[in-house]
This record gives sequence, C-alpha cells and structure tokens, in this order.
Amino acid sequence: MGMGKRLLACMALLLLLPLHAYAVPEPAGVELSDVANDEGTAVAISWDWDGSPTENDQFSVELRVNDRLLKHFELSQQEMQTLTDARSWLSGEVGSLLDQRTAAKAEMDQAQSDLDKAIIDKLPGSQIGGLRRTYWQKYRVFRRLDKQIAALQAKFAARTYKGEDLRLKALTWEFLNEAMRSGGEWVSASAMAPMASVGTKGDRTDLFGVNAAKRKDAGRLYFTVDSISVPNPGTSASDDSATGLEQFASIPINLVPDIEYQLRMSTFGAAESNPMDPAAAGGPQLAQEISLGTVTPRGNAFDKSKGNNLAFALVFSMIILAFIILARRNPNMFIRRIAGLEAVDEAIGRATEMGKPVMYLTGLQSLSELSTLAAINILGRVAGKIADYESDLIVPNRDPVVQTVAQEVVKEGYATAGRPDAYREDNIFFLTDDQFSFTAATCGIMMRDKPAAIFLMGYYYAESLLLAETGAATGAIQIAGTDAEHQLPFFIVTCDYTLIGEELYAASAYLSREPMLLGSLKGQDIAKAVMMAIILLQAILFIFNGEWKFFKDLVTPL
Amino acid sequence: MIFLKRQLPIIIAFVAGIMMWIRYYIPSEVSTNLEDGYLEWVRIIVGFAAILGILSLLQHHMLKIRMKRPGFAFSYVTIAAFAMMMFAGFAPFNFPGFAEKNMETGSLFNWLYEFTFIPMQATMFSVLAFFIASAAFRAFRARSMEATLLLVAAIIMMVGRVPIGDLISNATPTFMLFGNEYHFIDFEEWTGWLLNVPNAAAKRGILLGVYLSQIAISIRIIFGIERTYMGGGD
Repeated sequence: MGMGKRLLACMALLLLLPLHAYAVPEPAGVELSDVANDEGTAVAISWDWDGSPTENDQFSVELRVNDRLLKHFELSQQEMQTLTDARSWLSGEVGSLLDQRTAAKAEMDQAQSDLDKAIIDKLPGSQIGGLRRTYWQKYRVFRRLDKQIAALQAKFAARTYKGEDLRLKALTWEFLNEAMRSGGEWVSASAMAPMASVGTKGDRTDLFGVNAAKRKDAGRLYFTVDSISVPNPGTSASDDSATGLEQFASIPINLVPDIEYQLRMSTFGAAESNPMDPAAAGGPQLAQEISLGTVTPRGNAFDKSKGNNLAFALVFSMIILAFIILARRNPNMFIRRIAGLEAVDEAIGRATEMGKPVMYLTGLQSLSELSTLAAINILGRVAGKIADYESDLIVPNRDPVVQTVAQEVVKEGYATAGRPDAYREDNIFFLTDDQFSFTAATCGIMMRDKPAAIFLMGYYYAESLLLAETGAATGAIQIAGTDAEHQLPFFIVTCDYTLIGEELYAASAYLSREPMLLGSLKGQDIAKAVMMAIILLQAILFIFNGEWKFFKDLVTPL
Repeated sequence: MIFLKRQLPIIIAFVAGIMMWIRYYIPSEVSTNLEDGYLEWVRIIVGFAAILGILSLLQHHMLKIRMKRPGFAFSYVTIAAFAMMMFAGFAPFNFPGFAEKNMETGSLFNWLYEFTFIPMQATMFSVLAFFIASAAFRAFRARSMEATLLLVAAIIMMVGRVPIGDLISNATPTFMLFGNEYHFIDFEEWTGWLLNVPNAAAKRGILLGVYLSQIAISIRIIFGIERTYMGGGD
C-alpha cells in the first residue's frame, strides 16, 4: 500500500472513531437546582438521556475551579505558620522511625516466611519453636515502632485541627491550584456512575405529593452532587511523605455555599463498542464533555425532603395533645382491655402465694431507646404493686445506666406504696453488657431462684427464646412485651401473655389509669385510624387508578 | 431539692427533646455537630456508669458469698474470672509465652478472649437450636383453629425452604390457568406468598402501631406527662 493510501486509511479511521466508538447518549433538557444534603449544601442535576444507555455506558460530573473556591481553601498566615510548625515538629520527632519501621517490617516478613517454610518442611519442633520465638520478637519490634509513629501522627493532627483540618485545607488548595495552573481546571465532583442505573426524581423524598408541577418531571433522571473529589497530592516531593502520614487515594470535600459552580458532564462509552480501538478494550472511553450550566449551592436551613415527615409529626402530635387535654375534662375514657396487663396482678399475687420472687428484665438496649424507657416505666408501676403484695423483685441488667435508673424507679415505686423498708438495692444489679453472657447469667438465676413470675419487657434479639424457654421450664407465669417484631413469635409461643408492639408503650399508661396518659393512648388510636384510612384509600385508588401517586408520595419518605 | 429532683430533669428532657427534634430537619454543620456533641456526652456518661456497673456486679456477688445464697460458688468463679481478665488486660508486662501485653493481639487477654469467651458465646448461641425445637413442639400441637393454621403454615415453610420441597413440587403434575402453567403443589410459591402477603401485612401493621406509639411516648416524655422513668412517680 502506498503512502497516500495509508494516509487516507488513517484519516478514514479517525473519522469513523467518534461515530462508532462513542455513540453514547447525551443529557437533554438539563436543569440545575440547589438542594439540601446532611450538611445543607448540595446541588442537583435533572435531565433525560437523548437515547438509551447500555449497562456499560457511564458518566461523571466535574466542576470548574474558580478564584472564589481557591480563596476559600487558602490558609491565612497564622494558619500556615501553625501547619509549618507542626510539620517541622513531626519531621523532627518521627526522624528515623519510618526507616526503622520499614526495616523491622522486612525482618518480620522474613521471619514469618522462615517459620512458614519450617512448618511446611516439617522441621523438628525445637527448630520451629525457635523460629516462632524469632518471629514474635520481630513482630514486637515492628508493632512498637508502628505505635510510636501512630501516636506522633495523632499529636500532629491535634496540633493542626483548629476548627477545621488545616492539613486537609492546604492539600485541597494545593490540588485546586495545581488544576488551575495546568490548564485542566475541571475537577471531579463525583465518581463515574453507570448511566443505566441513575435514580429518577420519582425516587427522591423531596416530592411532597402535593406539588403537581414537581411531579410532572418525576420520571426524569436525578443526580445530587455534594462534594469535590480531591486526590491527596502528597508525593515524594511533599513534606508528608517524610512524616509517614496516611496517603488517601481521594478525599471528598463538601461544596462551599454561595459560590457559583460551573458544571459539566463527561460521558463514557464501553470500550467493547469501539471496534477501531481493540487495544483499549476493558475500560470506559471518554465520549463527550457537555457543559451543564452554572448553579449556586446555598446553606439550607431546612431540609425540604423531610417536609412531609414534619407535617405528619405535627398533625399526630396535635391529635395526641388534643386528646390529652380532652382527657383532663373527661377522665372516663374507654380504653380496650389488654389481657397481658390485666394478668399483672395475677402474676404478682401468685409470686406472693408461693413465696417466690418476681423477675423483671428491661431488654437488651440502652436507655436512649424508647422500648427500654417504656420497659422502665412499666417497671415503676409493677414495683409499686410488688411492694403492695410484699414480694421480692429481681432486676438483672445489661446496661449500667439502665441499672442505675431501674434502682431509682423501683425505690420510688416501693416508697409510693408505703414500703420503703422492703426495697433491696442489691436485687437490681448489673450482670454484663455481653448479649449471651447476660443470657446465660439470667437463665442461671431463673433456674436457681425459680421466680414465680417473669416479666420480659423491652427490646430483645436472638436471646429472646433462650430466656423465655428457660422461664417456661421453671414453671413461672411469664408476661412478655416487645416491639421487636422478629422476636414476637418466640414470646407468643413460650409466654403466657405477650404485649405486642404498641401495647408495650401503652402499658405504663394502662397500669397507671391516669387520665392524661390514657388520653394520649386514645389520641394514638385516632392517629392510627387516620393512617389506616390513608392506606385503605390508597389501596382502592391503586386498584382503580394506579397512576395517581398522591398518597404514596405523601407517606413514602416516612 | 424538689426542683433538682423533679423540675430540672423535666426541663432538660423538654429542651433536649425539642432541640433534637428540630435538629432532624436542619441540614447544617452546626446541627450535625450538635448531634455529635450529644452523642459524645452519652459516651462519657456511659463510661462513668460502667464503673457503677462493675461496683454493682462485685457488690452483688460478694453479698451472695457472704450470705451463702444458693449458687454462691458461681460467684467465686465470676469474681475470679473478672480479676483474671482485668489483671491480664492491665498488667504492664508480657506473660510468659505471649508476645504482647495489655489488650493487644498476641496478649494473654486476647488469647483468653478468643479461646474461652468466644467459644462460650458460640455455645450459648447454638443452644438456641434445641430451644427452638422444644418451643416448636409446644406451639405446633393442633389444639385450636389458630394452632392448626400455625402448624400448616410452619410445615409449608419448613418443606419449602429445603431442597426436598423443590423435588416434591417438580414431581407433581401441572395445569394451565389463564395461560400460565402451575404445579398442583408448589412449595416455593406458597412460602413466597406466606412471607410476602400475610406475614408482611401483619408485620407492617405491628410496626405502624409501634411508630405511632413511639411518637406518643416521646410527646409524653418531652412534655413531662410521663415521669415514671425519673423515679418520680406521678
């Protein structure tokens, strides 16, 4: 083939490349908007693909570095001085430790390899023992150096963290500045994502269901950008390598509010679709860089995506508060009978008759969980009754905070019943915070003390059946109450009475018979009726008109 | 004293409750820091409470030994194990045959944890299998309509979740309905229906009630209507 023909063939090849290799869909009808994320600062892109992407097609979003962004990350003179001082301190302190650690690691690896070889070669035990001792010696040296370096690095971090991480700030500035200097001022805002699996706006929780204008584009693609991906530029030229600080592959830096960002999207086609470039097979190939426009993220003070959550919370709170107020005027409200709570007196009475104690468990969670608080509330009511009946009460605990509170609550229960002398602090004790150790110890107490009644209130995990079955084996009357729906079947099978879900939370009010507490129960039932009506209505609407998503949008984010 | 014991905790519960509720809707660094700070406080308090817990544990077992209550010999084991683990964890030297001290990998503490504690934990967990068998035996006795339903559902679930269920289903003849082919016995289909329809419906109903109850109890606590947990009675 002559030179001219070769040139023509090459030109034809170059012309064909974009047509065949990078036939990737482009974004159409792009809209940029400010949205909230956890930090209150993010932007969203909404668009349609002009074509149908394959599973291999990908895209990424980049933003242009501008002077205002650079300025934001620039260190003041004082900050720079702090960072320089800390770096020089760290370099001085770490000194030769890094080299020593590298050498120690090499020696440790060698000792490990010698030991492995000796075991494989089945050398005499004394030789293997000697090699094992050598390995442990090397391992100790390496660990000591490693710990010394880590401690110094932690001190360095403490010195440079003045409200914000100065090192990270400097690294970000350095990276952005480098991007500007090199002329490639676009930096990655998000890692590459597959085109075919981007979320749609319909999946977003900021659709309240009442905004028809927003719902129109619910099927459009939707992508949120909340950070810039900053690779750590610490290389051999940087001071960081001399201090052995951890080298991050990349760090997400949150978008800075009130700075106008210019965004662009890069689309990537699958290499397999490029018949002219077989050498590049296996990796995505850049197809196009498309400007998306400019957008300014704001520091949002309210997360609109939680709007329906707030509305529901307010409405239900109002209903419950209204019924609490109503209950003060009309104390004789009807509350349905809960068999498990009616049996409390029977259980305690039985314990008194048999001269055996009552055991009460508050579950395995901490006091910050509502189910534990509910269990503690019931304990207060039950303790009063036990004091009345002159029985003993045993309360083993898994959490020391719960134990301390349980002691106070039981003490108060006994005092209210006029039997402060019968209260024994020693009976409300801490066992251990380990799940199965706690279970073993509690089962042991059940078998030894044979309580006549056992209350299993609060949240339980896999130990629920172990506890309840042991209790059943002792012949105790058992009343359980939990909102752990997975454990309910176990309690129902093994206990005499079970408070299911909401009944656990209602128990304290039910036992106290106090009008205000009962009023909240009534309000709660009304709120539940409202929810049920919404679900029923939505089910009917779904049967007759599956397209109308008003109620689905309304409740989905909850 | 009444103020410190009753009113102050209610004020703290009200302020903290309302603040953390509002915080949920405010997406900002300040709000995140507030939550982080709160969680740090919780950790600090739990740290101090752990000391109370240890004291309670020791006091309980010492008393048991002193009073020679039933099973007091186990209290010796508990105290000895506690002392041994504490000594192994805090001793400032390497025990013979161990490369590390304190709680590091290769230390006596770590060895005790890995070769005594974890196996005992696993043993306790594995006992669950026998307990499930005995509980199932009791539950599946067809004495009433509900128990019979439970028994039938349980058999379908158990057979449907093991390979023989598939074998039985595939061995049964098929029939056509509305253009679809069905097996006369199809355990996979039945278990799927049981899990996704009646089971999921019941579970969601329970959870809905639980969430609404949690809102109600939160309101009762925030507004100081429910005060039992403070040891304050009514």
